[in-house]
Amino acid sequence: MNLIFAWILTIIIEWGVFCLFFRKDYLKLIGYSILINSITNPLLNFLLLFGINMITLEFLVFAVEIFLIKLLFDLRWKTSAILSFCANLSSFLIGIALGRFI
Amino acid sequence: MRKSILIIGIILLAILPFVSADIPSPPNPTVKDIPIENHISNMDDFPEYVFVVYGDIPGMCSPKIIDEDGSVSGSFYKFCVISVYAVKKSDFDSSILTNNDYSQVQEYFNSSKAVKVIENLDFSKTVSITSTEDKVVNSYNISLNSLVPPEPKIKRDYKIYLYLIIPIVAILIVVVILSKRRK
Repeated sequence: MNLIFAWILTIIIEWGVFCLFFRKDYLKLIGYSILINSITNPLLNFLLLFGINMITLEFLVFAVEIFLIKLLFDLRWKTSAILSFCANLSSFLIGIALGRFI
Repeated sequence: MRKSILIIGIILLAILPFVSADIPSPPNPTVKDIPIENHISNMDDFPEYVFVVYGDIPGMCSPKIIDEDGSVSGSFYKFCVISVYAVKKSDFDSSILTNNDYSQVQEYFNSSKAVKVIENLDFSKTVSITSTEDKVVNSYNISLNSLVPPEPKIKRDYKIYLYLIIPIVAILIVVVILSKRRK
């Protein structure tokens, strides 16, 4: 899958999860989704080039996003972890599903 | 209690990908092999020569004559170090192509009859699965007086720096947002 397509898709999926969670400030949420995924997604693809295990990287992305969500959305750690888990699980599963069809 | 279970769970999840024991490694899903097409662009300049591609492992990298169109094809064992030799047609001994005596073949290619014109040819390249490259075409302009240096093993794709620049810019924006919020 093209890298830019994967990046945009991740931004949209995680924005969808954020929208379902907050149900307001949709424009601000897309901004945050772009920022978060502009940090984690290119770094994930960069580290993939070194043959690092995908599951390990997903786990790292999950951890980094907890931190970013906590800072940007000003949430509690537990809520940030749940939101990060839902966002990353959605993008991971949709990515796998699309990867099989594209 | 709950906290310690959570911490143990996180540690287990983190080390799980590294636990492989004696299980053979599966193919790396993050990389793929793409073919390299090697081509001699000025073979017509040497009508009195035969060009032979040859590796250095007996039985696995046997010599082969290069096609008249200059395309260097063939399947060789991955550890063969492949070179191209120019041999004068008058000196060319076709029996060398089928000779199973490694020392004789090696001696022939080390003799003054054969001139090494290209060394360290590669026939495949490993790239990231995300790469849009589907093949590499290497064109060689040979000379009998000088050896064409090997292709650089790693061709830098400067787009890779975007992978680092984009996150750095995004981190800076996050820092600006947070510092403005503090004020």
